[in-house]
Amino acid sequence: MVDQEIFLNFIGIIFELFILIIAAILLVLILKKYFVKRHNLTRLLFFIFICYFIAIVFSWLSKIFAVLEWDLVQDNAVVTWFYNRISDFRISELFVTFAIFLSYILKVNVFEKGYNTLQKYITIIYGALTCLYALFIYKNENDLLDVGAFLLVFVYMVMVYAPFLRRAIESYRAVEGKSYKQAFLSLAIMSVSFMLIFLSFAIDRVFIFLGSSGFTVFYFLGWIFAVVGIFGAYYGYIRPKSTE
Amino acid sequence: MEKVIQDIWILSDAGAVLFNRVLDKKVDEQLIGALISALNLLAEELEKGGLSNFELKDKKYIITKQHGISFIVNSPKKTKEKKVKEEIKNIVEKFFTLYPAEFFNQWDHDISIFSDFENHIKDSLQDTIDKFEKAFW
Repeated sequence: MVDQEIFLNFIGIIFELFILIIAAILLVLILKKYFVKRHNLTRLLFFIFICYFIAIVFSWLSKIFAVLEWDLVQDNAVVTWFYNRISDFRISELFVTFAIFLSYILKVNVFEKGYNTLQKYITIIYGALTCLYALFIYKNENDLLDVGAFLLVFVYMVMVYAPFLRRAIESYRAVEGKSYKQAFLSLAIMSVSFMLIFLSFAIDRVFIFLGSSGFTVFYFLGWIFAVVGIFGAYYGYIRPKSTE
Repeated sequence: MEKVIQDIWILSDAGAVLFNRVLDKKVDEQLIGALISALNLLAEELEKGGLSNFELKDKKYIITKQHGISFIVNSPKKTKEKKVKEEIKNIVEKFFTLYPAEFFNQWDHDISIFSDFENHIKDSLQDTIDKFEKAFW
């Protein structure tokens, strides 16, 4: 059983390393774009993907911990605190929540004429509660609390990326010109993929709660959506070239 | 990217041009004046909120009249009529939000008051594309 768990985590390391490399390439491309454009929104996009990248790094670290069978439970309370939260993806969820909040700012800046006050406060308060849950509503080996954390992040994703998706589709339908259409369609695909990542992970967690040893098809599906989302971001933000 | 609506003229009931935005400045202004007068006559025939359109060279013209104010716009022939109608509807709504029908009862015929209207009619899609072009594309 332990050997199987280590083997599954090893597969996870390889799989997530592949995702990390793709995310790192996108990060470099966004940074290059920023040096060309020197625009606040390009910088914001870079920060969003830095947060996503850090989230993937911590997820990857959790697999390393499992494979190396590190056990830090007794030694140091602070280290143990962080170790547990890294192992159960809480630090990853924290950074994803930061990324979602920054995505909300980006969405308002590119698609809207200004902030809707009520929507803004709901997004801030919900994001803050999700961060607090990720860090403090935690009990070691309590899978139900972990399911809750994944669902909270999934709902936050939907709160921000569903309107983003709607605006991307509206723009796709209204705009003329193949490259513009392709860009907005890619952003729509990115939005759907990002929402489905955490839905898949939440389902994977439900299976773990029900007794599975994890790494169900939903785990892999979640990361496949991440890859699709990264490609969507590339074709939506980076690839199109202005005709101006 | 080409704008959905290119040129815009907004005329009072008396035929005075309250506001205009002409993208192709090379077009003969006298010709435009004559065209607009003719279009305004056509607009007078329109019922409240009605729309009329016709094609001239490579442009499609749409005219609508509300509260005595005529809105004349043109767009490239290939642009879908539905999009043009949506944009003209937005322009009319924004105009009467800024300058309600009652405003014209006290208006001193100073047309400079409408010069700011340009800032309010940048279509939302164009605005989004401009932002994407500046930041990413």
